Amino acid sequence: MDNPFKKRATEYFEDPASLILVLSPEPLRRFFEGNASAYFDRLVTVVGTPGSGKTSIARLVEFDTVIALLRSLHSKDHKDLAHALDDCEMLADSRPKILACRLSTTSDIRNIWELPYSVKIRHGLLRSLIQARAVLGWLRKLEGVGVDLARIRIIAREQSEVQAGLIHTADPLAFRAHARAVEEKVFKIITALVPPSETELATSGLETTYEAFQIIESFSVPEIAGIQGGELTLRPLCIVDDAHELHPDQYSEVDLWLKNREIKVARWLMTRVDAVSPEALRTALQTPESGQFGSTKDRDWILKLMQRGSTDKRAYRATVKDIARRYIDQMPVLRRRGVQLENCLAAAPPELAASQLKDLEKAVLIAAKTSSFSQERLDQIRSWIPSGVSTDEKLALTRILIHREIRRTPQADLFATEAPAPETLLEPRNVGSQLINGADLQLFHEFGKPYYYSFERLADASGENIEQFIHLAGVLVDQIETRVVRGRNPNLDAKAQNSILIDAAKGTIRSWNFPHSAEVRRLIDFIVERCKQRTLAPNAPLDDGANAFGIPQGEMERFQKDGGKLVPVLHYALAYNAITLNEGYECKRKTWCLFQLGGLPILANGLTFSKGGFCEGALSDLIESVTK
Amino acid sequence: MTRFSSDSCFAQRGKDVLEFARDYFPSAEKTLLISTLGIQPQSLYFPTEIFSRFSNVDIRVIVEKRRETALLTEIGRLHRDYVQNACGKLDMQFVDIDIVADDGATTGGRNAVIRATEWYKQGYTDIVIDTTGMSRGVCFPLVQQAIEVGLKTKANVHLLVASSDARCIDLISESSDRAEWMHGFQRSMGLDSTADTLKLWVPQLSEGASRQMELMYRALSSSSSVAEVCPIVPFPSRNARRGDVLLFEFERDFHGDWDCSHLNVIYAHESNPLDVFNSICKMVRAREEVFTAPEQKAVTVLSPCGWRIGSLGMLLAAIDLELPMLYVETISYNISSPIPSKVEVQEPDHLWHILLAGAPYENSQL
Repeated sequence: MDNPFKKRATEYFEDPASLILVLSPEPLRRFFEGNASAYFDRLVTVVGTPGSGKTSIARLVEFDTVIALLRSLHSKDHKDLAHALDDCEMLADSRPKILACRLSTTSDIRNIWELPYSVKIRHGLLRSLIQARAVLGWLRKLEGVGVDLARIRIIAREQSEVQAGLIHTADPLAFRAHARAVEEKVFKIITALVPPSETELATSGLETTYEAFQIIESFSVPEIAGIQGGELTLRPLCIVDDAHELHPDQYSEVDLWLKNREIKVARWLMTRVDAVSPEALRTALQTPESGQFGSTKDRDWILKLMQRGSTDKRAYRATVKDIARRYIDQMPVLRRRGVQLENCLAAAPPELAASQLKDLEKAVLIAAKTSSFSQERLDQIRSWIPSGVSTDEKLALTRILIHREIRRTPQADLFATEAPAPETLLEPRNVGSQLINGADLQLFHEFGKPYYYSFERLADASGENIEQFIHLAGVLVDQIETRVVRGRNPNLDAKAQNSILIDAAKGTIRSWNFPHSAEVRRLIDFIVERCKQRTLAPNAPLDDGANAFGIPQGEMERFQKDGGKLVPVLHYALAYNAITLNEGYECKRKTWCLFQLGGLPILANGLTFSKGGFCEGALSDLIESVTK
Repeated sequence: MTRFSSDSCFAQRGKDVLEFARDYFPSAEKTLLISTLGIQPQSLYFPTEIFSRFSNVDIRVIVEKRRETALLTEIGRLHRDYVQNACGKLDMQFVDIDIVADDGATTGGRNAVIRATEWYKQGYTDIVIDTTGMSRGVCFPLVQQAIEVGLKTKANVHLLVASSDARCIDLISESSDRAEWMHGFQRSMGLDSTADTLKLWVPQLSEGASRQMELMYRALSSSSSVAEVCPIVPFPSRNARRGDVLLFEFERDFHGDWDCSHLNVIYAHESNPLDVFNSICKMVRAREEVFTAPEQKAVTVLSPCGWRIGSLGMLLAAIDLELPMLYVETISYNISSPIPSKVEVQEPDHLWHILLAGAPYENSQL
């Protein structure tokens, strides 16, 4: 593996041993924060956009990965990972407690919905297939780590001897053969060119649902090579990945079924945001410390958000820093030189060229002239600017502050007979880091001064999406590797970082090809245009500008009914991280719903990553933008 | 009654197709032509220019329903009127087939097969699938079903395709965001009993299909990794550099996720489906030989995408060798050029007729 950054997803790592080399414990710690044991006794619905790390978490907790990790604890990184698993109650005394298996929702499972049978039969087939595949997955995981299946014991719940007999729990090999027979029968029906009629179905022996989840409690497994301590008792965990691929009615059925407390098997449902009901999602978003219990009165499920907006920026940066370190460690060329990504990106702040600086000075003079402010007042404005800023930033800030003061100064009457009142000394205005960023963004648009550089901005650009981070970091790492191979200094200057990242973002947006992607691009263009106007306004009214479009929350409540063509467009814009929704945002004594641009559109269009700045509008503006 | 195989496949190309059609179909007892009301006027070639002249033909024109736009509706109306005028005297029906379900899942193949089951009840001596304007998701299951019906009812099954090097109407397609098994071509993929099988993936490279390739590769890797990737590239091609341009376009995949050497590339003729068919057959057989020794099972997964005639070669290989097919459906089209005010069906640059099943295959001397 020369460059793991080029592997776009954790699914592509061939075996658990190569996967654990690049896995970081941080996402796992963030995932399990709070009461870890609750993640194994009720349904956990994990919600996130593609690339937010759902599948990585699933692959990390899968049984073969855990065993591969426990067999290679000589490495410090592996020990960290094992500690994280221990903290999350996946391990006890360095011994596995959970037998996890990830089950991808494939098109054949979704296609059960298309069969010409009653809803009850279709749901029965769906449950049978999921349970049969989960059972086969658990057994396969055990077999994969060298367990002799004939020697395992399947421990059934008390008082379920009859049902246990039906699925052959007493004999592990017969248990597997039965599960395979169920899977094949359902599979044959789904994949038939023309499916059998409902009457023919009754004769095929599939009249009852295969119910393993309500029967199995645990697996007792003889000693596994490389794992100390003899026999293991393992609680099975079924992770249904990509559950959004189910038909919405199937999703509701699976969701309801897996919430049943009678099920003793641990179960996680991983899905994109669009599959979850808007009400459930809103509740989760309003309690951003997710990991809290769900909204049902019995507290019988957990809704876990993989991306949480602005609440946890520092933790996310630490996570991706750790991931970048692990990835670079797998690249011999960079490892030998002791290259670290954050060091290579720690470029000196750029400055404008002399000619550009002159142009900027002229622009400030013009603003000062227009303002008709006295020299004393102009000096006072300059005095508000903190001393640490560069010359060009100082000029840009001066210009902004002059425009702000112009707006604050009452207009003199054109035909006034009296002389204007003398200027009064002003209260000092606060010039904070956000306004400095706003000045930098204006310089970025006006003179092309690099803005997107440094590890922090790279992390912000990925919008809490790990796959997006790896993609963006990968393009930078490519350049760093080339420099190292050519014997040059690996550090990238601000200009290079800026142009590489912007090109990567533009390229990705151009290559979007998912349902309604053309309309999503139009929606983005509309919001970007409005945000740019606000960001580049001479007085920088929002300091570092806007990156969202806000509509009154009341309009959002009627979205499903009145959203028209925007409804499916927003569905995919949310699913693919082009936009995030920030509902119930309080500002100017009103409640707003913000349509916040994702990291890539922000990066591609020169806007701020800071959240909160938005342009006001109405739902109808957004609908019009996609129907143009 | 039997069907084609890699050893014996009767086919004609170019003018021979027209000669065959004009000689054979007027004398056939009862023919069913399944065609499509496509966006390009070329899709109307066989029903309007050839089969409209015969009297013993029933025509079913599939109208693939995707997201509508004003321009698409207008083209649909023009093409429908044109076919109606040309074939009005025959037993002809337009049949709407929904390609995508409300939730974005692909259902075209399944819906088409259900409708065709009704048509076959009439009993035909010849079944003709005109694949010219048909999407793969509809066409491939229909062809598979027609062969099954043909073998059962002793009907001759024909495949026709007309294609032109230049398009009359420029289109921008929008893909589904999920890779799916072609209806009827999943074989045993996904079953626990085949989980250890090594996967060789043969995608058909085409321009602008990077996202589709990514989706398919990810779907294939979801349970176990893909052992090898052997992309098919068009060569010889009308544009001799097309293959090279495609290799450049997919360079990142070659060196990244696929980890694939350029020695793995299969070159197949751009406008000869039999070349694609034979290339795949040769590769699969060679691979089978390799895997006999370690007693490890291997499966070749085909992924049609882009150039239509190449896809038909993949279809033949998938049917003959019982290979699975994974693909990404196009869920909508946007028109990026002006639409002509009237329909003009021009002579195609490439014509193919392939006899998929029928009486000639029973004659061992042929």
